[in-house]
Amino acid sequence: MADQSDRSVKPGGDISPEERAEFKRRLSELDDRLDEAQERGTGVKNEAGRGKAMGYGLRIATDIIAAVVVGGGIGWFLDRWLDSGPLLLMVFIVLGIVAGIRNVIRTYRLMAAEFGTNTGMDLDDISTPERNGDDPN
Amino acid sequence: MANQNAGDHGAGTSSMPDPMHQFEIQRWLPLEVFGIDASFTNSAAFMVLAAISLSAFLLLSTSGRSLVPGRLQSLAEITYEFVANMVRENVGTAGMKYFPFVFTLFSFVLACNMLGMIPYSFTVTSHIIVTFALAAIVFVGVTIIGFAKHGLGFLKFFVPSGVPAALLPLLVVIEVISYLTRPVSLSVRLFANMMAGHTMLKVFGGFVVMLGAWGGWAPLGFMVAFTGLEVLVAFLQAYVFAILTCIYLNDALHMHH
Repeated sequence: MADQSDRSVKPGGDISPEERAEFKRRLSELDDRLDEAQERGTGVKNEAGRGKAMGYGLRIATDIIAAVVVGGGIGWFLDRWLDSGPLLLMVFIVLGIVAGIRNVIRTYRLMAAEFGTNTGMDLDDISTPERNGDDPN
Repeated sequence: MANQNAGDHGAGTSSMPDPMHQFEIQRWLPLEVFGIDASFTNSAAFMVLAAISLSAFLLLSTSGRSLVPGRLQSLAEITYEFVANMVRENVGTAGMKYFPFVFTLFSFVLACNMLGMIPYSFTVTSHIIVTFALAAIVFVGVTIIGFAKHGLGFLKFFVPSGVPAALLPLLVVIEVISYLTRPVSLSVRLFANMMAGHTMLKVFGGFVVMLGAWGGWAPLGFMVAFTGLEVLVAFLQAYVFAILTCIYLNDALHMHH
């Protein structure tokens, strides 16, 4: 915004530096007030945020269930193929639960990046392996 | 379609109409191609209707192409901007190549969901085979894009870095399961939400009939509010479907975050 106000003042050229400074100050003040008013929410921005939040909620709920189902499915097929009883089914259900939680943490990170970390809990305290290196997702 | 009316099936006020009847597939034009049942069903009809109404909407609204848009043109422009911003934010400018696909997917799911909100209509997205087909297109397409872009290097996507070698096999399996979860969660989310919502509406519609003129007002009031929620869900589900497609595309194109 600052450079924009610069541009809009310069071409005139016939106002004193004091006037220009005053003009800039008023412009930035107006800008701040506008930001503030928008933040307080004229409804539009808030509604969009709520919609996005609901979108995240819907994603998290199914992501964790689907991972368990997929894990169980893989285990069941491997069991049938290798004739290994319920062993692999059990192992892969557990792995599915882990993958589901992994999905949720991943979605949470996207959420935290979008809404800021003001979401009630701080996953940054939990050290997961990929935090140290590149996140593979 | 009038025979989908719930009243036809609830005999009198004592028995409930079947809330699942609305999801039944009816063969409108029986057709068999090489032993495969390719009948033109009510589901197919509503998919065609969704495609036609979408095309008509976009063609009509953009035919004027005035500098100062009218109502219809604004609506089309808002839809375009909405999806374009979604792709740009989640995939970056490199993803704009895939904008037509994401836009088509979003508007088709949205049109199917919204058409389903019209009484007596059929909700295409309440069938898992439809949503799974859509999700499978996304899943297979994104995987192909990933391999086309990175070659076998795309397999590194499943290998988290900075992990002790002993844990690596376990984590790779978990990453693969997490990746395979995508089409399942994508399709189940859309299908389950649409089916559950429409079943709820029918069940409460049955309550209104059962309780009659004296007690039927309470479930009727609930239905009005719930219909509003269902419209919101119809939009949100299309939005979630599209945004997840964007996120998966971003993963395939850039691999890192």
